[in-house]
Amino acid sequence: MTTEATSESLKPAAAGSLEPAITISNLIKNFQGQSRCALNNATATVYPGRTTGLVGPDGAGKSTLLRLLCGLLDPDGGQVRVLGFDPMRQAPRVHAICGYMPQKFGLYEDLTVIENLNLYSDIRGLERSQRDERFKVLLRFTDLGAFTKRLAGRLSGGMKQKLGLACVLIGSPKVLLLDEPSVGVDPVSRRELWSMVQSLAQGGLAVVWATSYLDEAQKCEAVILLDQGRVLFEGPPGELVARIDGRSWFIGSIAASERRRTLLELLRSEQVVDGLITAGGIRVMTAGPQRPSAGPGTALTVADDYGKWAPSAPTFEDAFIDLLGGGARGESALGAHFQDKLSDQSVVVEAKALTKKFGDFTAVSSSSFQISRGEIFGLLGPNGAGKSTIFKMMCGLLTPTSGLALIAGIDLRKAPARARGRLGYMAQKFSLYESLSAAENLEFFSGAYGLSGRVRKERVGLMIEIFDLKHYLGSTARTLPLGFKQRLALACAVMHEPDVLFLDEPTSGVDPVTRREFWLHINSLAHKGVAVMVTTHFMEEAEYCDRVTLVYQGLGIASGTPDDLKNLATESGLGAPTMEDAFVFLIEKNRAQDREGSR
Amino acid sequence: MVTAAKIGTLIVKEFLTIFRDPWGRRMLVVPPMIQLLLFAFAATLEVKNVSLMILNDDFGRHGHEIAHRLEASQQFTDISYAGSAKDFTKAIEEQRILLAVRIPVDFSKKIHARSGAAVQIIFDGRKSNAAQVVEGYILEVVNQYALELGDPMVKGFEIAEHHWFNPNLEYHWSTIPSLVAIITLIMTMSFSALSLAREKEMGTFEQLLVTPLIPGEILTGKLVPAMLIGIFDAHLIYGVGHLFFKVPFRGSYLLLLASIILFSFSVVGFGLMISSIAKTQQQAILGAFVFMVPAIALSGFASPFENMPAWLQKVMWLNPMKHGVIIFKGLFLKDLPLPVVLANAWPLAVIGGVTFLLSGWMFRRNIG
Amino acid sequence: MRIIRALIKKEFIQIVRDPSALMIAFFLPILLLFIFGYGVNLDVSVSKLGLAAEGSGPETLSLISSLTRSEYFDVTVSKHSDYLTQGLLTGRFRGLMVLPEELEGDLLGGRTATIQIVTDGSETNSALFVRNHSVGLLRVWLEDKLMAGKHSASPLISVQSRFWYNPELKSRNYLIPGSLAIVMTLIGVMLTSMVISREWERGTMEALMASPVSINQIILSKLCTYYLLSLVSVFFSWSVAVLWYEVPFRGSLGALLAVGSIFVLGALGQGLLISTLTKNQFLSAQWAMVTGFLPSFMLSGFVFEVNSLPPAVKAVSYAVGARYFVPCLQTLFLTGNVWPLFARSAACMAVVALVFFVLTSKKIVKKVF
Repeated sequence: MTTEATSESLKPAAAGSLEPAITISNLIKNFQGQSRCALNNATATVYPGRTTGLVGPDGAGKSTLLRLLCGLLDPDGGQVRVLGFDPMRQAPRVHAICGYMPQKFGLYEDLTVIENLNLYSDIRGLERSQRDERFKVLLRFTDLGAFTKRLAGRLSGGMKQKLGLACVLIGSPKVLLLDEPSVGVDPVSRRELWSMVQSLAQGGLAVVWATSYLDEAQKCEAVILLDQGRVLFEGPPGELVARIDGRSWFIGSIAASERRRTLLELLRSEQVVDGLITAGGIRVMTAGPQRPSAGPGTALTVADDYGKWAPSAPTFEDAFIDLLGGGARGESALGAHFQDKLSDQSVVVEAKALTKKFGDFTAVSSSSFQISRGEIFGLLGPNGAGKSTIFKMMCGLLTPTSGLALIAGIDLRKAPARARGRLGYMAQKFSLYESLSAAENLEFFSGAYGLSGRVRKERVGLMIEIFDLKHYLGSTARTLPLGFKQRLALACAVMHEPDVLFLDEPTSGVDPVTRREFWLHINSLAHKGVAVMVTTHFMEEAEYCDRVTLVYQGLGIASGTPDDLKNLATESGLGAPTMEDAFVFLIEKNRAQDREGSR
Repeated sequence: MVTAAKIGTLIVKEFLTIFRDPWGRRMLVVPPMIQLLLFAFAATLEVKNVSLMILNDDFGRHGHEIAHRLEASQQFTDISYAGSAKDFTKAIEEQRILLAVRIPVDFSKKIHARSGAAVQIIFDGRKSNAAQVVEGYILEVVNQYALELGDPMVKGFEIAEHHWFNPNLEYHWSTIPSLVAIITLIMTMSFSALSLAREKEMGTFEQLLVTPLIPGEILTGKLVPAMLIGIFDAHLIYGVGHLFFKVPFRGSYLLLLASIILFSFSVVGFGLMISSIAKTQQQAILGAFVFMVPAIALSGFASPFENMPAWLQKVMWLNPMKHGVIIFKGLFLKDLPLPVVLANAWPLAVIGGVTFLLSGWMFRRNIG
Repeated sequence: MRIIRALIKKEFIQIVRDPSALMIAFFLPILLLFIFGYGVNLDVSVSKLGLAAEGSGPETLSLISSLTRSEYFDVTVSKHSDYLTQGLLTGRFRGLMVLPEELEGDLLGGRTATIQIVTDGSETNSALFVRNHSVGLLRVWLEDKLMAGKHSASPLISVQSRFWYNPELKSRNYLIPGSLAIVMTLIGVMLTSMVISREWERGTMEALMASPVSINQIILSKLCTYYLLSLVSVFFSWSVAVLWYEVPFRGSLGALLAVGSIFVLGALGQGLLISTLTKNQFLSAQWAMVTGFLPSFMLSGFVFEVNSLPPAVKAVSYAVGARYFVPCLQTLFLTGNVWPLFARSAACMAVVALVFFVLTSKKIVKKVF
């Protein structure tokens, strides 16, 4: 049904001359030992000269589809044509015209940038005489000119992705398949990557861009929305957005300190499908096109007390959430069961002039901040800026070269075990025991945090209930869907009711639905008096923070409330900047200053 | 008390990670059994099934008699006759035979004349060890014959041989007790050297470090499971060796258990040291390998300990294997009394204690 | 061809930058050569012998002095039988000899004299040495005595042993050449299987497979690289063996190259098969240990005689490439070029290699999962 409608709507754009680059018809793929189809009767078309976004929640089948397209997997049914070739039978021809970038791109980390480029030139049969010219273009394009002699393993996440793209582009492919190229990449690099790909598409390439960033998808000319192996929607993103016209609202002018509490109350309402904090207010999507009626005493009147509802343009993300059944709503059971910490605004986390040097290289220089109970503190910055180093020092994983890290007034160096008992930590990469089952992981961490007897049993049971883990108790953590992995990781980090919660990119690569659920939990924990420190590459998530520090090259270059940071960006001529605009602006400004300085 | 509970949790976790994986479960039994069979059957310096060639240029009675006696001997299963010296030269060169016996033309004549008859034996020196053992067999045959030909009045000696502890000199009686040490070493080493390195590579190490566990608890949580695995495998080899290979066990079981515990403790100490330094599993595997090969080869298992240079023998005091082999062999075969066991066991305790402390120090240093 | 050259170049850059590859290729050979050059020594050594002489007549004294003069024994004479038996228990003595009081009378009276030899059977090798050498020594002593009585210069029958190719009977001379086979096994099986598994683990294999590179090209480039690396490493070990340990080398390097190449091919095939089956570094290393390193150590005639193995184990040894290569190495170093032997071994190794490659080609498919 959907497919028919969309191919209709695509025709004007495809007008005559454009032949589809990729056709996918009734594609089926099963994996041994998995009851659910990885791809279930999927049908879609990709046209050249545009970027097609491939979106969907975790485990929807995005990677499987890309692998089928470049012949790394054989389908169990249906067929694929890439520029007329069958990837199953004509794999060599498809490989010759296809550029495929897997999720963790296979860069040789112990080879330098130029060595990687040379290797792929040889593989793609690029003549030596043409190489200089091509490399010059690619290096300028990717802005990697200054790093040709650096080992690929030493590049930051964003630079790695750019190099990966450059390696793929050496072969002048006609079709570009990118599997989540922007995961773990900071907004600046993400924008650069996007505009690179965009200009390639304009040059006539067919680009498939799998992503969990829906703002990227919105910018695509076409999207394919996958869920549980089915194509739920295919067509221009605007078409999907149009379906939810009139259901999005913006509640502005709520005091920063009240936004989170208001959101929590709003989400308790039946009539609210989705809600999040953004641009100095709260965005809400309602179940119907009317503004919900606010009876006295309901949550909605609370919002009315603080701000005015105004209709807002729907976004692709709204449409996506709606199509998948709405965001996380209601009460956070985690917050509800959490013991009330003293919400006396007292400082529980304190960094005093933290400095870390690795040899000559200063990773973090004299970083100081405080986090009080009930406060969410965000640490933002490009890849490699020193966020993780600060995190590790605050958790006692790294000993600072100088300065102090205090948790609840305890010096991490003097009584590390006691200080660590007060904090919960969720690492950037999934770092629970993959070979243990979910239940065993919970058991283990409860024991490691010194819980025992009745309390231990109770807490473990509670976590299972709150994070809805009961269907996964027996399965090994390795086999859990990403969303559940992250839930389990959060459960293990909060089981002992820490005073302080450190979350290092907790939502990286996670789909928007799960992301909302996470923020609901984080939000309600802060409400109970937990001090939270968080890093993220999703700039809209920074809006949830009370205070934000922007780190660049080991230095805190700006800090304040999200609104403060955005105001810094307005001063410099931008209209109503988003958090991401502010981020990009401030980083660029610093880079420019660096260049000035170096001259 | 709290510490004990935390360490208990760590130990449970360690075993769960091993036992959940079917391959991990097999790891505990299959490689030790393969090694046991391989070593028990192959690691023998005994020489059997010897191929030999005889070139008898003597037409007399004595040359024939010597050849006949060699043929009758059990050690030589494959005897052929050479037509000329060229025959056996080529056969030795191509390693078809280990040795050739040449009886010269005037052999019988010289015996009659009592003017010093000689048998020539040509060995393949590429296998000098086997050659020397076989030389012993031949000397026995020839000398016996010479004695019989000599003064009939003098009866000579009767040698009353006793091989204490192993009356029939069964090779596997001495290999299998050593194997208790070797396989315990390989297993405890593999598990302990990889234990921390695997967690570092998987990222779980950091998650572990942010819990209130202190390094001592974490290391003890790694030490105990690896030791338990060692103790299990030591018993596996002990059981199979005793029941299936019928190697006697004469010592005290309690002493055996105590020395197995000490032995695995000393090995795990080294393993944790390697694991604390290694950043990846590959490095840990290599480190374990670099430790294990010399530890086994230089323990006196493959060749007599006394044959090593004196300085190397001193260095080997640090090798748990050296002490382990003495104790286990002694307990199996000699019913080693307590003082002798103690004399060889205290170095194990010292080695284990020092390496464990060192691994703790390296662990702390590597975090910062 | 260009693709293969590029991939080989990449492999070499990685080897140079990867400390563990260099360690396997250059440090492990040194370690093995050290162990077999100094540590493992199968030469006849001096055994510690406890001697209890009950009598003190001239025959006994003559026998004692004959024993103490022997190069095989380090004799301690004691009257305390407790001291001696305790010494056997603690390992102070490897054997005891008891010369009975009746020795003199029996010998002179034409009766058979009984001499007791007790060894520590738990050290089976040493026990055999002690027994064989003391029996031999006693016989020689007796013959000397008998001959002396008859005023004859030499024994009735003497045995003239010659040890071709290794007259000094140094075990080092055949252990060190044999250890070259172990070095090649380590590189061919262990390093290769780990390196290929690493490409699977790091996702570089997936990227390569989506490019115009064919699986055969990937495999061929790995084979070439690690073939070259093992030749370099073997040449390096060879130099150390000849220059430092002064093991003679009587064959030609060309022959070593030829026979070694076929052996390496088999080892590489095995490494390839392991990595194809496991795609995991840890498992690869374990399998390489159990199916590569140990058999080439135990079942190759390197230290232990293949002919002495029980039939079932001997049957297994036919599948071990090192079984054919070790004799070739020993021959190359100590004897020279013996082409019939090389040809026979090379043919067997080629069969082993072929089996591995056939098995691999059945297992390997150009698909991610």
